[in-house]
Amino acid sequence: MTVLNPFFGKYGGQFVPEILVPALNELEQAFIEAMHDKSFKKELVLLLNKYAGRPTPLTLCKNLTLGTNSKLYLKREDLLHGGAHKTNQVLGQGLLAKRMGKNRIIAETGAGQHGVATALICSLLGFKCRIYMGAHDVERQMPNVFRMRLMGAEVVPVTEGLGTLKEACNAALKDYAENFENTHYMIGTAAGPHPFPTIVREFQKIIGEEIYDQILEEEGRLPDACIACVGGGSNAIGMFNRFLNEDIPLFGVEPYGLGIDTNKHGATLGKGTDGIFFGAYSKNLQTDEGQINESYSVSAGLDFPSIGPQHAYLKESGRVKYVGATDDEALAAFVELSQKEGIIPALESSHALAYALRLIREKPQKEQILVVNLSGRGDKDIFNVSNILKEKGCVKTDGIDISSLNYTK
Amino acid sequence: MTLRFENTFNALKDKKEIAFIPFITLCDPAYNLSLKIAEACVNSGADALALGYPFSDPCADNEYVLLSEKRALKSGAKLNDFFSLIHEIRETYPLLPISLNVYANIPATIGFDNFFERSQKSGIDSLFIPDIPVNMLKTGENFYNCAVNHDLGNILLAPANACDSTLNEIAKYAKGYINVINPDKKAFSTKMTIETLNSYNSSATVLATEIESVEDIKMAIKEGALGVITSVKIAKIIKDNLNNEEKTLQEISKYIKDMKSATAF
Repeated sequence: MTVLNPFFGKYGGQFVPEILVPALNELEQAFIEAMHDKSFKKELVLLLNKYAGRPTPLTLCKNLTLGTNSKLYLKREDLLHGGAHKTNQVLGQGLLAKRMGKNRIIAETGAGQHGVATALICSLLGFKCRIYMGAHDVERQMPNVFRMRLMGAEVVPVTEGLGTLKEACNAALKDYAENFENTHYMIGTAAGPHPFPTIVREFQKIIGEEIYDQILEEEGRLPDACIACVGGGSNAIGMFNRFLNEDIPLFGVEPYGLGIDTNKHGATLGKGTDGIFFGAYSKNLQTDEGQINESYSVSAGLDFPSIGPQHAYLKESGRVKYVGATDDEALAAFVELSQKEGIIPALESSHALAYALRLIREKPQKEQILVVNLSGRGDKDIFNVSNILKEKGCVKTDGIDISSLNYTK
Repeated sequence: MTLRFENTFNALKDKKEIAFIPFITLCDPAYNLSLKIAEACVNSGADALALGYPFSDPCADNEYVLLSEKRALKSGAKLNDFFSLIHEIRETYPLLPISLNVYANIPATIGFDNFFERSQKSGIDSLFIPDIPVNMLKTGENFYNCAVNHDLGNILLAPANACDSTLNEIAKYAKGYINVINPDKKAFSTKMTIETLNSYNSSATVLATEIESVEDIKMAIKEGALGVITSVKIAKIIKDNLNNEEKTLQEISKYIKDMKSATAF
């Protein structure tokens, strides 16, 4: 049996072929030992601070909230080395892999942020590196694909199905089952079989811990809400963990794509049902007979038909409210933050920002302090967004005009 | 609980043969031909059938089985078709041991009780859920008890890298047979895994990886397995002859006959 509890309420578990259980047990053991090993923690903190650039700032928006009584803070994970929060946990998992004596790392990636993070840690620590990425995502995230290859990773486009994150996950899991003797599977989100959701949360919880201290220093009190986007759920759980026992609302923002009532969305918690996929009992987008559906989102990193089991649990318990932002809302937020604050957010994080802006604009008189986890930067998205905005007629000779997009103005 | 697997393994032992068990995906490439393929397998000498329930996202199948599942789902076949096909096979072969391989998400979605009941009623003897390892068997809805309550055996996977205590657990809970696989023949011994399982009085051990040729069967006999499961070659034959039903059935029949003839020890 596992040493740590593999379940979050009824969700979670270790639903993998028996062949992977020894590898997962080994990982759990290494993780437990590392967490009690001062030298491991010291090495990790050193990497986080001196290599990755922690702590990241908490930035108060100067212009976006003008004309309202809201204060909007952004947790700047976009400034972390690698361009997203993903780096936090690959440093931890990289050190664990070293501890276990593995010489090869594999990973799945959607937007390519986790792939980039994996590639950089493999380059730093000297691992062979193979990244599985859906062929469709390879197309829409070319800059990240090149970054991974530049750092020495082998990027394998997966052509199964629609060629997105789901197929990349299946391919990585298969590779892991065949090669776990020398290979560590560096899962990129707080999903998958135990102990991954726990390990990823523990390595990401630093986001919320820093926010807690920073907001107390700035405001002398906790915020009125914390907001993060959720695909698999790692940046969200990293932000929420510190606040789970505090009396403040937490919002997880899912990708509503073309609308939650269309069949083009990635609202796993909004529309999904219970099932066992990607190693865990959680919520999936699936048919009533249990075949997994394809998800959809303009943002590759949120385009996933399942979700980390702790989020399924937090939804059921009611502690976190899971809401959504559409493609249009996310695109508008992407442009607005660029235009008004000089920060280009990742399309993923733009979903969280879009929801915060909706809260602010629906009640402009309300005095409130909101914190959004700006989980990644949007440089990787600029070519893709540029094409989309052109198609939507938003690109004018004198600049970008998003007035035709459907969002809360 | 049905004794079809036990009876078959015992009878084969008396005849000094091991069991030859073809794996076929239900409704691959479509319902009608799939039924004929199952019949061709049994009529050509298969001792039992392992039927695969198609899943959109199998994480543990080889590429040929993966494609066979895609074909089956693309044919439009659904839950009712899969169970009706199983039922037809059972009606034709009342004594044949039949196992059903299904990924956990299917029963998890429609309800384990519901799925197990339908499996039992359609004529399944034992169920193999590849993504429920033995340490999860009694968690959640207690999958083990649920199967037992519906008169179904649990087939488990025994990888050669499993530790002794895990093999003991597997031996305790598996009924029908045990799928033995070896992820790394240089590092682990299949023979030792089978001997360990035998020492715990387990159900029959069946080798389930890389069984494609007559030589593989001879090797399985040497390693002490009581049966073999083969999946790749049949899926390959179906894939290569999609527009030629007659050739598909002929080639499968010939393959099964050749393989079965090598199972004597």
